[in-house]
Amino acid sequence: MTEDGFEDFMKDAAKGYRKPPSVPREAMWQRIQEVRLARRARFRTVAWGAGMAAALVIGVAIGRYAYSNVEMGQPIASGVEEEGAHGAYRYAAADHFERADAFLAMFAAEAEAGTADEEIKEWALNLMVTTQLMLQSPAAEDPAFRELLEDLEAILVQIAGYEPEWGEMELELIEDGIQERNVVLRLQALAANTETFTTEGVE
Amino acid sequence: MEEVQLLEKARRKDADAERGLYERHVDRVYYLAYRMTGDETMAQDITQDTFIKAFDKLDSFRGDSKFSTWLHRIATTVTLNALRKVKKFRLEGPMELADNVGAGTVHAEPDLTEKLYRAIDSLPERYRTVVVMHDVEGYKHQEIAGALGIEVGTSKAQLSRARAQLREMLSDFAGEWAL
Repeated sequence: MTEDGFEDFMKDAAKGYRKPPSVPREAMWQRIQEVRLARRARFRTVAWGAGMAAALVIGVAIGRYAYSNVEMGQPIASGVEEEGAHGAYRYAAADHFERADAFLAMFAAEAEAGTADEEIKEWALNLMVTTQLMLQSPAAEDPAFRELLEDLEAILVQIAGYEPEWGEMELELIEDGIQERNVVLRLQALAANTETFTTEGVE
Repeated sequence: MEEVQLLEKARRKDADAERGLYERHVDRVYYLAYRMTGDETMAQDITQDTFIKAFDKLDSFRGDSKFSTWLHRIATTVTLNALRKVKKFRLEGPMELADNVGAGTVHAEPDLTEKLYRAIDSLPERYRTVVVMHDVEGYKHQEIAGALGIEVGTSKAQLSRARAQLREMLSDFAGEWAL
């Protein structure tokens, strides 16, 4: 009895191991479509609430920007006119980048510890909707802001779809996306530069 | 249409392109899921879940590897997770149902081929996965490595160890397989 003989036997006999039936292509495709449709409907409902929260977050940041001008002894109109709406939205975007940076750090830690849960998912959804609103705002007219917002959106969409039973590979795919796009460093750099810019603009 | 074009359109949520990708890859994903689980319902669930996840995450596929490698990485992860759940259920839940999942066909007096199948069933999960992918479904080591996130050398080593274990388990039949 040789090893080769066994391998030949294996090659031949193993082909019949749990021989699959014909593939139910159409039935599976229908099911895939149904599941995705149901998810989209659920997502739209949750996103509506998240949209309200996101608008509030942006409004508060813009208000803070205007208020900081008043504190510096300048009338609101003068500060906002000088920078235009862009300054306020850039400030709001920088504020958003800081929160996104903190979130991604927490997500990485939770994913590694295997403790990522529904709360993380909801947080990602809220940030994602804010990101989408930012993409529609004057802040996205700056190419660097737009590019970062788009990359951030792509990552947050994945995290918002997080399921607790996900395996390591799925978390690795998200982490790979964050690394490949260099998102964390870009978030930190733009947040810091924008804060400096805003302060300089006000003084 | 070329796969690159299909991928580009599918990223923009083009339903025809998604269907095109599905048609190209569904058989291989389903066959692997079925061979790993031996259960039609589980194989269907795994296949569906694989494509749902793949379409959801298509933006994160950067094209560094082949789409089929990326898709099979998702498929093997979903399959192994599903098998772990069944194993857990088998330990905690009713034995009757759990025993039927993944058991394959059982004969009272199994011949050598049937003995081989039972031996494959009893391999540790990582060995059984490589045997099923390589010897049963005909994947290349490169594809197995990509799908399982391991080195090509590791895939080869695991196959070699798996075959050694199978030879050992079938040692009573030594000589019969050369006939």
